[in-house]
Amino acid sequence: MDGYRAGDDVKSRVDDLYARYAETICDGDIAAWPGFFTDPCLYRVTQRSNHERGMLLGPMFSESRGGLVDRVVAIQNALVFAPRALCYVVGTIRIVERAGAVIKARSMFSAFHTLDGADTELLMTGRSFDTLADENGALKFAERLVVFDTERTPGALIYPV
Amino acid sequence: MDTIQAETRAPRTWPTADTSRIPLWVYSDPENYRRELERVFYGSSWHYVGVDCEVPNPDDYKRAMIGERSVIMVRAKDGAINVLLNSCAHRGTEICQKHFGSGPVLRCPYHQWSYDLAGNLTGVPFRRGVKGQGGFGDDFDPARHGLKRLKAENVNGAVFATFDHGAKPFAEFIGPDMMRYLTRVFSGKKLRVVGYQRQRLKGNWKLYMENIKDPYHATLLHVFLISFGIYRIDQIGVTAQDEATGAHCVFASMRNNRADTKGAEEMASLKADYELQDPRMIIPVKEFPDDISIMIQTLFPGLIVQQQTNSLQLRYVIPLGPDSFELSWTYLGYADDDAEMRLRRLRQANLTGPSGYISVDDSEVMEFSGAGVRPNPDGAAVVELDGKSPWPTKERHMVTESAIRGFYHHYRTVMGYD
Repeated sequence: MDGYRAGDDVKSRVDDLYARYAETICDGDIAAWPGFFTDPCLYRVTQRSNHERGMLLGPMFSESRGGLVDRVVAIQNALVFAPRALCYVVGTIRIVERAGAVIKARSMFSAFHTLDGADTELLMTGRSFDTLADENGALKFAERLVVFDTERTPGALIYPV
Repeated sequence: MDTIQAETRAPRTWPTADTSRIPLWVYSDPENYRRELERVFYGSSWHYVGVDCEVPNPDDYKRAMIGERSVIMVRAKDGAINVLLNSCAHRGTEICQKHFGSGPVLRCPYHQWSYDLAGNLTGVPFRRGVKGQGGFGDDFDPARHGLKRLKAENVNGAVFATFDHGAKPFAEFIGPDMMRYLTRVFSGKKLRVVGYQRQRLKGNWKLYMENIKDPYHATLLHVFLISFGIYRIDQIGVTAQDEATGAHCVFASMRNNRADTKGAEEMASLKADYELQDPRMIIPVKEFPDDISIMIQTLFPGLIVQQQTNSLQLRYVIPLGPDSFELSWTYLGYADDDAEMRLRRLRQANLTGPSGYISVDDSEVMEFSGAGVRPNPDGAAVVELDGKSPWPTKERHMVTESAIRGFYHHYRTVMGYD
């Protein structure tokens, strides 16, 4: 959970959130992923060319924590896919704006995947544009918009970014 | 292999008189792939290039692919849509690099040769030379050096093109039954593009088309589908294939009642008690005059038109060699969609695309297929579900591989293997 202690500066808390988010997915603990979001929330993943044309369509679109749980259950129980390892390299995390307890932040990232028995390859590069809010003392994503540059995703995008 | 040997080798032969067998070399043989480019993609078949709302105003253009060739779909001044080869008549340079653009002239970046929107050459720098030196001879006739123009048709907003000006009209190419299904979605209502998605997949492009022509796998592979009653092989549905070639087909079905599990004993992956936490993703709204909730149409060679309740998509395969292809998705809506429908289409899109709850299974298993067939070109696939005919049986049910047999029945003819 959030390692916040009274006196920690806001930027440290934000950095900690982004680090734990990436670690959770890359360590393979996908069941803990929905816990990084408030409820309701807005989680959208879209490619850059859609985003720049004002199109909201993307591979993932969820308006509630329940919707994120549905994705976790699908990944764990329903979807058929080749097993893989993930590594997300997240950087340039910056607080863009603060309005009371609500924080607007952004980051840039590279995501790599390694299918069992295959070479590590670049999955995508992208940016995230996020709204963070407090839920019971923990800092979480109220909105997370991931805009990826990669025009053609290699294979399927199984796990969230 | 020695180049001379490769060029003079006789074309391969199909292992059987019918298409109950598919030789695995069709998925990997480089010579077969080159032949496909010429005969399937640059021959007499029609190919999807775009929807007319992508070029709404005169001077608008967009890039598209047919096989490995880039083409430009352009809205002319009179409102007609032209499709031109994206290759300068001078030395072949690609003229348009941007996916979308607008302008009264198509100008090659290299030597500035300019073309109007019908592809006519209208400007050649230094045509008369410079200060009395150089220039083109009197025998240089610009009328003979325009952009190669394709034959194009706009079917209620869906634009198709072919390199063969002698090709039969599109309606005849797909036949009346297929046209009826196509114009359910392309009904004449003004369209809008909801968004695009693109994937690069490892394997031969035909493996993907087969997957979409294969209702057999739907309830065995797609746990998500059957868990929510979105689709079951035993629900009311029909298979339709065009009479002329058998290579275009439609599967159309009505939504099943989840409680009915009779006949579901062999569906090993059925998990009947699974509930979505956020069911807004699958709540349908009746949008079409009939009761069809899922319609999947495939048009030879590489287009899929799908209505999945309120999610309307076009999927188009672009080969990148024999062992790789792009799957290009265009999600559609109508210009008169209200805010609720706009949101509904975005929500339902979670079922398809690169992360789609249904589509992931298909693209993954397709890559497993590629891995299995790639090193075994001398083998053959066995497609005998529901007999050996390339057409559906008279009951037209969906427990069949007739659509796959139909695809290859026509493919063999086009490729000269019959």
